[in-house]
Amino acid sequence: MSTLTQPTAGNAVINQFMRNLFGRSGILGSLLALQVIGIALSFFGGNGFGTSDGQISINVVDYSANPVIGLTLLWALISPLYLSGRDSLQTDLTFPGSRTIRHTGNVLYLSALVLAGSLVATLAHMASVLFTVISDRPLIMPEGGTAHYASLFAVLTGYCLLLAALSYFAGTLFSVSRIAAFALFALVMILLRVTALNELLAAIIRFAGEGPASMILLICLLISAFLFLAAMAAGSRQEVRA
Amino acid sequence: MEVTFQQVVRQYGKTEALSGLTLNLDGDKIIGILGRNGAGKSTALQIAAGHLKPSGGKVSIFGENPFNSLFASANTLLVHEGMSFPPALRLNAILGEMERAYPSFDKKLARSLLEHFGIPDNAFHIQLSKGMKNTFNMVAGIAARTPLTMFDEPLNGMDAGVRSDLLQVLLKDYIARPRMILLSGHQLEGMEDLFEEVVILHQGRLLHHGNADEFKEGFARISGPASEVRRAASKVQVLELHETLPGMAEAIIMVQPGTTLFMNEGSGLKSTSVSLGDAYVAMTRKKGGIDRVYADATDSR
Repeated sequence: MSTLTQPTAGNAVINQFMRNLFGRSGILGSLLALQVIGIALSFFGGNGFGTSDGQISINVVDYSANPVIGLTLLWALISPLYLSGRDSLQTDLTFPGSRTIRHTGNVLYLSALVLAGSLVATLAHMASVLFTVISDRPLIMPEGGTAHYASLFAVLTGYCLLLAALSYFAGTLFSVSRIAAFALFALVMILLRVTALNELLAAIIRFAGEGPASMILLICLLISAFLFLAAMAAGSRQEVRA
Repeated sequence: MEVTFQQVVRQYGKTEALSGLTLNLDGDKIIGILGRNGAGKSTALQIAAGHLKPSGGKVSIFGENPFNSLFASANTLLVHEGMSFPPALRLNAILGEMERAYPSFDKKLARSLLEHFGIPDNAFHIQLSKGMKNTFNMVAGIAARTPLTMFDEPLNGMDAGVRSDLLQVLLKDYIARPRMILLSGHQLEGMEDLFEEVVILHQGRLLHHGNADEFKEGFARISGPASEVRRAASKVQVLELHETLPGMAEAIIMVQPGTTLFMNEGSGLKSTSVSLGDAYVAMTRKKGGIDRVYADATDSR
């Protein structure tokens, strides 16, 4: 007589997390690759200008970690689509778990990567000032010191998590019902009274720039939590036909 | 009951794959799930594995609804052609992952079998040919030793040697560690001797469920001169009758349990047993069979 296994939800979530870490190394790999590219772009500097009147020559080069930050945000927008798709679900169904456990493991994994990615981007930003330590050239350091970097880390973590949550929700909804995904998108646009892309961008910029860093992080965390829960609810009926 | 379907309906758009399937399976047995293409076998297995949600009715695996049940999922494994594994893992790592996920998984057995079948354990699953992929899937399914293991068309694409070896291993492992194994398919070559019970699905419903040997004994094939075959067939329930050569015919008939067929000596009639595959095909074939379809289509010209 065969013996039935009594699994625990905690173990199943850990297994899902570990499976994502080792079995879907492309997600972590793409983050690392994009950040390395970003760091390389940062190293060469950008937005520079020069002027000269014959006596004095001024060359200003802006060394910043903006490419790393931008590419980290891009990663946060794209990679959850892979994790929430039908192919990933089909693979996950090979192993013990439930849809809720799968989503919980995925959300924890995405959150861990967002934290790591934001930390790397912040460190890259801190290090970017060192790029200008070139002899005989004046250096203008960013103001604020530790508080500045802490704010950057908080805001970046918040935005990355928000983008990841949005993307994960969209990916889940799209794989459950494409019609529902488009209908919801249209509904959101109507509710926000957004009729053009520039209005949407303006709304995002308004949201992005308002309040202190801690408030932005808190708002982002709340919206992300709501979106992840919405993804779990939508994904609880997710199925895949072999 | 370990596996129970009660009036289960599953629709894909306007197509109904299961139309009120009611089925109770119990005990550690190897059970054949048979049926023609589109009979609902794969859908039923996917519902039992919790991959699909029924549109109606109730399903219970070890007392739980398998859809979104961690308990049912941990004790069930569905092996099928579309089975996929984490893409970044090599086969050896997949076996490690299976070992972590399924407590009874026998990695040593799985590795030995892969070596025997010449499947390199450093390959990626996606790189394997169709036959090798199905071989790997079946090896993983056997080694997982879940209390309910379901194989949906497991032997597709495999060569005869691999099929025979895998079925032998399946039987040996089942004898050593009994569990409920559901084997679905419509090409039963080599599989039918394993079945203790058979379930025949037809058009999304249960057509028959019972002991495999008793089911086979319920059929006989008679062959010989067409006139004699027709005469003999007129007295029994005929499932299929067709001409084999000019003036010769063959019929598959249903035999009541405990009855013996008597053939007149000199009539040229011969009675043989019917394979499980031929029996269920005859049982589910449309009246007149392909001969009627062809005759009707060509006569009207």
